[in-house]
Amino acid sequence: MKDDRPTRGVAQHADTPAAQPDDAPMSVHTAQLPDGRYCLLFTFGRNDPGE
Amino acid sequence: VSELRWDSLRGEWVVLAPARQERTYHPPAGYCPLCPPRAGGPPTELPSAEFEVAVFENQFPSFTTDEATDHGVPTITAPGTHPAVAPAYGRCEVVVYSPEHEGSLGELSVRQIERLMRVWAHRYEALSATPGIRYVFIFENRGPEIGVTLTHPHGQIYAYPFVPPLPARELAVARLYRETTGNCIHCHALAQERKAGVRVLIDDGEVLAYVPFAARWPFEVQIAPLQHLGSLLDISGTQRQAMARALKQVLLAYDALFEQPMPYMLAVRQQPVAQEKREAAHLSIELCPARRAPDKLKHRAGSETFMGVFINDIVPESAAQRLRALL
Repeated sequence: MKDDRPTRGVAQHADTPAAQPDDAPMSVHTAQLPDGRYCLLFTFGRNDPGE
Repeated sequence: VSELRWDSLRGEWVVLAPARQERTYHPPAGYCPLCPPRAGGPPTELPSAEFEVAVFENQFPSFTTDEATDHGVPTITAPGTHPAVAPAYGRCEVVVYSPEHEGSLGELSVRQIERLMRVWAHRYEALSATPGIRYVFIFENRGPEIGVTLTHPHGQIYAYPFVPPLPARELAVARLYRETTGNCIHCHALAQERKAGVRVLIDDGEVLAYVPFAARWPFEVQIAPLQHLGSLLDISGTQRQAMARALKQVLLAYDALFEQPMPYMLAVRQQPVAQEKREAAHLSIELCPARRAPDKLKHRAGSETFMGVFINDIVPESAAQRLRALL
């Protein structure tokens, strides 16, 4: 997920066409934290993490 | 409990949030609350490691919906010339950019930044639909110089119960321009910048990244779609990818500029919620870096704080030239 390429001359690799724009299906799993707050976990192109 | 206090002399709200004094402050290595949980490790804010981007309610919020529990959704109006108090109604969320503790927004892949932008759009839409919310502000503070206390790459979202003063003023300017000319002032500015060229960093036909003509901060940059879009909800996949790529390029150029991580503030500027003639607003990402030299910071000091007048040591055309050399 992290891009480890060098920081200089970033245009060369950042400009490399990353194929198509991201259109992977986005899934959201809603969880509740112990103190009642909500937490949303987003995944892309895979099943709902809660399933 | 937070509360809003109306400053009747300045005509603006101030948020008092004493609970934030207790927020996590530079936790030791291995105790990052934004990391996924690991077996045998300390508890974190995240219930699972199965995510690419995560959002949760801030444990130490400036605004909270708790106030609505007993009294319903409050209507926050400007009280005028008398000091007043109102519930600090709203939402504060933390956005975790990645499960990985190391790195930065600029070091994420373009694809991951696109996905982050999709999450931003999701939260903008959901929070905008929350009763009583008038403005959704997506932002990031980066670096201890800006006051950041957690190093795990993350940003924040504030959902305000009123339109904050600066967006309100900018919208008023944009409305007046639209009423006078029939056009968008941001679109006009983008066209002028493209024509001048001297402050442009990236112009790929989809988005423009440039140092504003009257930049307030050293190396300030705005990234905006060339098409008139009010928010991330209106953006196409191609435009989103172009914005993600431009954002990555600019952020990496920042870090390369002084060969050290650049402290900055990032704002995603979008339409207010249900504000009359809000279509005058134009989507943009605004970056305000705080370092003006390898060993010198730009501070928001007397003129900026008391007078609202920024003093910028770096001429925008020079800033653009130096940043362009690093792209």
